[in-house]
Amino acid sequence: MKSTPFAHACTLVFAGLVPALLASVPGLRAQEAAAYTISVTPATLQMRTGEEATIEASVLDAGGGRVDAQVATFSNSRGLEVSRDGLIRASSGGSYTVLVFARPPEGNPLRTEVQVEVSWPPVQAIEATEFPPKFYAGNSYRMPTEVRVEGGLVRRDVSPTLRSSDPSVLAVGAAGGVRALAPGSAKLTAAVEGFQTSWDVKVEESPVRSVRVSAPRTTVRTGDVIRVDATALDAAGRPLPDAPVAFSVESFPIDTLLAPPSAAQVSRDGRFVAEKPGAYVVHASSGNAVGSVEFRAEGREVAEQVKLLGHGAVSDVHTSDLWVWQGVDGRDYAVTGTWSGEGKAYFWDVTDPTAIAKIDSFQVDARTVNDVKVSEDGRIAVISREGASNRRNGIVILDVSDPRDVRELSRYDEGLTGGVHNVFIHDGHVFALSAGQRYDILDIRDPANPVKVGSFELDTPGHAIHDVWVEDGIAYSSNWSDGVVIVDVGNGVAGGSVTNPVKIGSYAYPSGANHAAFPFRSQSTGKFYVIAGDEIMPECSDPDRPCITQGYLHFIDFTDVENPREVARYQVPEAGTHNMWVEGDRLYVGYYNGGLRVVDISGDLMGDLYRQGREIAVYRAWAENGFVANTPMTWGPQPHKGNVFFSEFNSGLWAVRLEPNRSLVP
Amino acid sequence: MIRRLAFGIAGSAAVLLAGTGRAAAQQGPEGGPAAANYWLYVAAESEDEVALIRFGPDGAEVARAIPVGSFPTDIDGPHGIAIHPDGSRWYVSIAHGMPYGEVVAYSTGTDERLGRVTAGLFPATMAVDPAGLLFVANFNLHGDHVPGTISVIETESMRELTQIETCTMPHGARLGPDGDHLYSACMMDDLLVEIDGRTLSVSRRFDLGPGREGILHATGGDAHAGHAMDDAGARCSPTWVEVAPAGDLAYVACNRNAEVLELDLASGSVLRRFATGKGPYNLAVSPDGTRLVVTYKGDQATGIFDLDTGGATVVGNTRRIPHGAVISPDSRYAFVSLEGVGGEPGTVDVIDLSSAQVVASVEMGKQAGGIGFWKMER
Repeated sequence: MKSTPFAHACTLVFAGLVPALLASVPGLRAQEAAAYTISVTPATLQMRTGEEATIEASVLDAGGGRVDAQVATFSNSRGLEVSRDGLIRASSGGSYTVLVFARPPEGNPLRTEVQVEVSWPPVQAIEATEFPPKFYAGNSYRMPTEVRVEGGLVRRDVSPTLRSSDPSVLAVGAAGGVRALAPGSAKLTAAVEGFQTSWDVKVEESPVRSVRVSAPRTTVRTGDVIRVDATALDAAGRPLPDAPVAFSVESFPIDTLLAPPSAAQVSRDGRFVAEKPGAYVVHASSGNAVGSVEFRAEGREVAEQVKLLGHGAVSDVHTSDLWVWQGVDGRDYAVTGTWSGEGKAYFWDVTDPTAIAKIDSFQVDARTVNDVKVSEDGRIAVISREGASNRRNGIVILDVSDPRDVRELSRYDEGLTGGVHNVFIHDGHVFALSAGQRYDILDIRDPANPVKVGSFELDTPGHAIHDVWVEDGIAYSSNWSDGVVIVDVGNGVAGGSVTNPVKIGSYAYPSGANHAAFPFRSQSTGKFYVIAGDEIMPECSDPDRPCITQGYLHFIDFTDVENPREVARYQVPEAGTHNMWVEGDRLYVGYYNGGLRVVDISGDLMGDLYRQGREIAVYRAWAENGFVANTPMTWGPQPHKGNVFFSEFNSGLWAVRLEPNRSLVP
Repeated sequence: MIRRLAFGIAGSAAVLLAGTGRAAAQQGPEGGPAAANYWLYVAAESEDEVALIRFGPDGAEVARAIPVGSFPTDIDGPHGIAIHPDGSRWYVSIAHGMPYGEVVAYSTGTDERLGRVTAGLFPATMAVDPAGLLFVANFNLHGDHVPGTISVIETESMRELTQIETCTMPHGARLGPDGDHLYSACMMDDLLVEIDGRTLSVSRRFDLGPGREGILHATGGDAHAGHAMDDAGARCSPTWVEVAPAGDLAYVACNRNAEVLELDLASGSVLRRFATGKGPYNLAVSPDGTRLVVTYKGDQATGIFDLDTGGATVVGNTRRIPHGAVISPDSRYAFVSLEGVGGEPGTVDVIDLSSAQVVASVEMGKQAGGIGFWKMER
């Protein structure tokens, strides 16, 4: 039965997106074998997007007579909506399986399936989204297109094919790129699903006679991003701004690098970065003219040695987060949380990091103290609770002006019963995650009497939040599939405040695994970035066994906050990220089973920082008597007064110092 | 009410079990040792594991601890347990997610993970009907007080078919003996909702407010239709419902006002009220219909009611915060999960219903909660 637009009949319709498993479903009789059967008309259905239709279904007895039976309708398909009273509405093309589910007067439920094919309306237009103003012979052009159907919908599931009426003038490559070969005219046609559109292309003789190339310097280190400036010039040496320039790179990595990988990259706008030492020639071509610049890339040589200073052992329970601060007495302290234990937080004197000493502990009704934070003035700590015996979790506010005698000031759990996974203290306010869906903002300027003053929650379907970091009155939250979200909570740049948070910008990425975010302004370039970290655990299920994690750090250039761009990554092949910290132009990362990582993030950033030799240090900490023996699982780092402290999930609090590499003097 | 703390006459001994590391108290019941092996699955909500527990002639032990959840460094919160009617699979609801929880299926015996499906916010208690439809109450414990839902999951394909809106904070989801109706109580609405398993829609709502008990006339649509909250809000605050084996009565735990209601499902009227200890939480009715077991979350005890006489006995539990309860098919033993506090292990107490004694206890992962009876072997 063909659908009719907007046809609507109050009959029985069932829809879902379920594999055909009828025969294997226990307790559900095959249609043929039961005393009752389902009769469905039509057996298949063809529709077009935007249309509505119905399917008639009834329950028949063994004699074929219709019986009064209860039915139900389901749909869990995004492209096919089905209401309980039997109406199907197709919103997206594709193939769907509709589940027909019925409960006869007696016996087990019956189910069958109807195949629904939803076709798109006819293609109405193919638009070239980037059409060059001129075509010069000797250049290649990308021709992205957008396919629109009747009703204005954009189809992203098809790619038009391109063809040229005169391949000697204009040729189409295997991947849809267009190359202007010789002066002349040609018709470029794009076609998809029986629709086509054409553009008249005139290829002109390229006026380019030379390409002027320059670079600020040609001796670089691996990881340095150098912009190659290339200008196409005519015979008189005048610039030709509408002449395209294409960049490419020849790589000659050092001859001691056997079977080298891809060793360098150059972007479409001419930014070059080498990953391995060696010689590299960047070519800038336009028409038949080429300009080149040769680079000598040396190793970045940023590696430093790691000296172990001390270890505050925690062997009877997992350790969670840490915070290090200078106390009001001038000494240095740290606090660590515990995970799936007795609800304790430990306080440490780390003034001498070679003699880390546990000086106090504080226990709350919880199984996990996941996050610990201390106020800027070193007087107030906030610890989070999960797994309270009365299921009212929330936070506890502590007086840590004397970390040897920590005292509770107050507790707050209103609206935070769902477990506070992470918190942050900023300017007299606590930002506390609530039920994994939002953060509440509490005024703790009177820490004995915290008051909720604001809240921020996304409105996207199925939104969730994992962490929040606040700096200069701006909150950077990590929101899994919604990515990084930046909110004005008092900075004022967007008119926001703690009582009226205002979203400034956001950036989401395909993995949907955004777990942490850390903002920083590059001291060397002045650019503003937010590092977004993944947390992916594909094969981990037991916290008491070694775990191999995945995920990497995404460097997002937020210099233009309305147009964020992901420009670089730091990806350790054998591990995944957790928490991080930036100080100066150094990044410190808790890389779970990959240990503590320290990375040089100075200069412009592009590509894979791991492959560029930017790693300063790696340290994997484990303890024979750890809660899980001999198993690094770095939770999070914090640099403090030249040392680096980090918490290990399996062994407690550690301190290291980075020292320059020593070279032997022959 | 007689309060007894009684233990088996065989004394107690802690035994370290190879492969589990859990101590088991081996005790025999007053009437002699168990004549069969009883197997259960119990969720440890703050340990992200499910324990397979065996109670037999030699006492109780954790036969296996099965890690569950997705993120080993985040507590995922396994909450409810359900066993497939044919005994081939067990299901655990994982309360925490991003933001939705999920239901995960495992094979009994091998404990191999078979599949998973996303449910709603904080999926909690579950029931599986003979046709293989799994109903899970999306408890939404920590969310706004808005109407919650029951997810209906086709277990063969592990697909969510639909979510049925019921009432606010549904907890306790139990099928009637014929498998045709699901009952779920809502803590914040003082409502009991009956879902027709054939139409997968709400067929009736029962008001459980003290003095207002009865069937509400409105069905479907507004979850609060016909229900007027008094100034003090919910006063029953029902946390559980169990249907009697005959299918004619339902028992509802009123957590706030410390009583269990015996409802006539035909009329919606309250036939009896059982005064309980503090915080009645979960219920179980023996298959022979003679005993009602009630966990007292606020009392470290379990109540046993004789449904014929109405008499009650209180059994002290070995650990704080009793949670779930199930009764063996032979109506002989009740198994009660005990959450504990903080770093304490979770525990399962085995209560001999005839003697009203704890005859065995076994420690397991932290915050033992959801409990499902798998099988009995002679």
